[in-house]
Amino acid sequence: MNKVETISTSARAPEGGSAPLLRARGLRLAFGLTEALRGVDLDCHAGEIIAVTGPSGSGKSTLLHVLAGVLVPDEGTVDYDTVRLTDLNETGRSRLRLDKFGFVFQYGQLLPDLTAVDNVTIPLLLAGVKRREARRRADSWLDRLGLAECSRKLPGQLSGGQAQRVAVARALATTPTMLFADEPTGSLDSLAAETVMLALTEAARDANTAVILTTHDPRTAAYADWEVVVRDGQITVGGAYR
Amino acid sequence: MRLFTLTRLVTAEGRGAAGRLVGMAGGIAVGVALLLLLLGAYGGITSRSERLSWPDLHHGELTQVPDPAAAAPTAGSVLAATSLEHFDGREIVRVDIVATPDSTVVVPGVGQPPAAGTYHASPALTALIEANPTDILGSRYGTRAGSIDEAGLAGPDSLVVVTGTTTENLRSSGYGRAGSVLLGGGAWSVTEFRGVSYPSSNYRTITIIGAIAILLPVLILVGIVTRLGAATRAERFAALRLIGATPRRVAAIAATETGVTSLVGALAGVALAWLLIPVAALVEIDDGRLFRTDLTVPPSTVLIVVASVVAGCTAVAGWRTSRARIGPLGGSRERTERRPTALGIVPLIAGVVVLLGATTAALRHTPLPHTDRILIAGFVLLLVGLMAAGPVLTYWIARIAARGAHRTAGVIAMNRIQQHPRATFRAVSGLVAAIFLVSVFSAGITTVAEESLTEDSAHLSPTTLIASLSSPPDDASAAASGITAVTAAASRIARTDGVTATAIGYSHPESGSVFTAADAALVGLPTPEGASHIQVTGGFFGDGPLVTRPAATPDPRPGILVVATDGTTHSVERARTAILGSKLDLSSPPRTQADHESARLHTWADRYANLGHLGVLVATLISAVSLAVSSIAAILDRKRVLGLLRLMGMPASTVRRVIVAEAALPLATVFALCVGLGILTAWCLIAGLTEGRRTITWLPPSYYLILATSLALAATAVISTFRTARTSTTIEATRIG
Repeated sequence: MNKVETISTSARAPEGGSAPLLRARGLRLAFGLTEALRGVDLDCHAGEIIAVTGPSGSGKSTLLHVLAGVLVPDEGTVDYDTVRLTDLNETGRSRLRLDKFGFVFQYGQLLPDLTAVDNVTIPLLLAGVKRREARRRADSWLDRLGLAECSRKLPGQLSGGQAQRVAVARALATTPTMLFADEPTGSLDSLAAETVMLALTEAARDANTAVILTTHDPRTAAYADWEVVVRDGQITVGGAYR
Repeated sequence: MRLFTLTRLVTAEGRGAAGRLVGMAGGIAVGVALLLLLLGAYGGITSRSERLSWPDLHHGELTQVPDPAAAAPTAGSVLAATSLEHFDGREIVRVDIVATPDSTVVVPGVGQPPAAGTYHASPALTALIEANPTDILGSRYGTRAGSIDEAGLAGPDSLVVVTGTTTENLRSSGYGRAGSVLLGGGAWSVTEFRGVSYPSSNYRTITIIGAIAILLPVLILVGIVTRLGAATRAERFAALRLIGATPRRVAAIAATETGVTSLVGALAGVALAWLLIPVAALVEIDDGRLFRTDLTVPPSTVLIVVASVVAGCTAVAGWRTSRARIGPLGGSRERTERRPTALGIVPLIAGVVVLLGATTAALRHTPLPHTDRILIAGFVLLLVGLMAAGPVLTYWIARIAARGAHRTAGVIAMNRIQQHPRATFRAVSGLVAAIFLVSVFSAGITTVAEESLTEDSAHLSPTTLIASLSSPPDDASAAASGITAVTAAASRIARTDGVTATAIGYSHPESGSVFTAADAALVGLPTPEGASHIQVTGGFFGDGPLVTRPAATPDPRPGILVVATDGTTHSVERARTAILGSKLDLSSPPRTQADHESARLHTWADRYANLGHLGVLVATLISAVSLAVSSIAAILDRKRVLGLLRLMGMPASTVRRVIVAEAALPLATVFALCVGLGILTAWCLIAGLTEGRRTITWLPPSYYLILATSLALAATAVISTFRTARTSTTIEATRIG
């Protein structure tokens, strides 16, 4: 996985002529006097993995949240497929996140009172899947991620890497078309980080799920197809991994 | 000083932290205020009993005077007799005193004994006298010479009169009971009027139970507020550990934070108690309202309470923090509670056994020694047992419910309850205690309701006055003049406005009184056909009906005077005043069956109902606050993970459902148990303390109203947390941006 190409544009050209699954244009967002995003353009195609890197406070997580419809930009648009996400109200965006998106975070994302399998069933239940079917699917995902023996354990009984893989299973359980991961390996050692990233990227590729992840770690970024570097709220460098 | 600075920096910065500390201080303030009011009330009731019991006369230096007319007061002693009068269903304690002008005997609240023909009345009685025509009330006592101050009164509502009289007019009355004080009867030569703290074990039992009932929710509230924001605090302490603070230093900071907060809270509680005294003084307990000064707690007690609360909270906070083992890498892993075992229901069963055992023995008239104490112990054991059994039952039910949960909220809530049965139950434990107490007190109060006033053909009208006459002297001529006097007085009384008839009952050699059939019919006594005279047996104020049968010509000695009225209050009281002013030699003041029933029922009703309602009100309100605080704390402790779930698309309504489910399940689990055990406890207390003379009956509609209000308060408490739940689980609140 060597970096073979570096481009200096803020938005990549469409790949193979197909329309991007997620398309952001002219994103601007300020928190008070601080401009977190200053005119960001980005495209993400189905099945593609993009790593957003940059120093702390550069706007990586803010960009991720705007793309996922968690935060609303002051200016600019985000289109998901044929839906203009930035025109939806909170309920509509919540529904879209629940139906189409998956999320993985750095830490503290599993409900401590629920077993691994119950944690994975939560988004399925929210999506209206019956409990029995939800458990079957959750067990299946845990099995695929090598966690079959951990399914009845509580998060407190899991290692950091195992807990993060449970979070990946939860994110992918609803078979989302987009997965957003905010520093998914930030709290893990290098071995656990590698296990998690392998599990995440393989599962995503199998399901043809597009992934946008933020990270400080070049080794994590290296699992992506593309890397964009954010600095002071702008995409300064874009590059492709092969 | 560095510790304080560090504590302030670590724990008190930021809006959230300030809110948490304010919540903690507020909870402690409420707890301390109620504790001080309870201590004040307990002390006040004791000192009040000393003030109100002096008319009993038996507690001072005294000698019985068989014939007051033949006795004479001295400078160092007075002749005194107390009696119980009634006015419109209220009791008036009357103390008649014969004293010399230079008497040195001090009458409590009055000072120098009043001169013959004058009286000193309590402010409440003075107001009553002034509000009514003289012939109805005022003329009973003579000329007003002054008031009785607090030193001689139970409370601001006390109706007491101290009248100055002469040896000829000093009545030697029979025994009576004014509220909780027995009036000894007879006439006495008294050198000192002195009251005592009356030793009513039943009363103390109920008082202690009431105090426990209020204190328990207070303790639960304090326990809950001191845990507020535990997760946030753990994160801050973890950061401290990371930069090198030792576990001991962290525990010291936690203890300092709680110590300072609880000190502020305790001092605020002292101020709150002081502000609440006028409100608390409005509550009628036992013999009426207390004076405000009764509720004041001595400074030494205030100091002890403040110091104990602060020391207790500080020690517990330090202990909890050191036990939490907060490491340098953050809030470590969440502690899962030890799974509750069936042993938790043992205290509950033990409580039931103790209560039933003591009651059964009392019902068999072979009461155990110290039945009252055993019943208190049983009550406490049952209450503690409910608290101990609650988590066990909640855990069992949650396990079953978790299997059937199909919605997100159900899965989240039932699993949390399974992992934290004690914490979850703690949130509703105050309410559980309140429902239990509501049931105890409401069922207890039914003992009054079942003894309603009856009026049928075998009873006199409740507004007919009956006055017992003293036995005439054996001397024939004196007896004859006595009989003439009674007949003349009866005729005069019959002419009083509102009096419809009078009847003189003559002594029967065996039992009861003998009336002429004509007189009996006029006052409403059932009269067998054809009889010229009838014998009436059975108590005029007894529980059973009067029995009438034909009788021979009676013994000429009059024993009782019956005065029938048109039933209006004015007529009854005017007739009563006329009897009292008739110079008849009465062995007991005139009273109606309504007076008798009112006096008999009033005592229990006041003791039980007012304490009960107060306890229930306070317990329910505090419990609702506890539930709200606890629900908020449970959400705040999970705000990050719930916020992340909301970020993933979980609607806020799911968080609301989680809160409702976590509050509803433990409550629903023990609801029926609380009601059942509450009723059982009430029966045991009533039947056990009275050896079966009293029992309970169906719960009144007010019970269901109180129960519904309690549940509505709980629902309000839960709903009030919705906004906090929504705002604290927003995407911004998870601080991941």
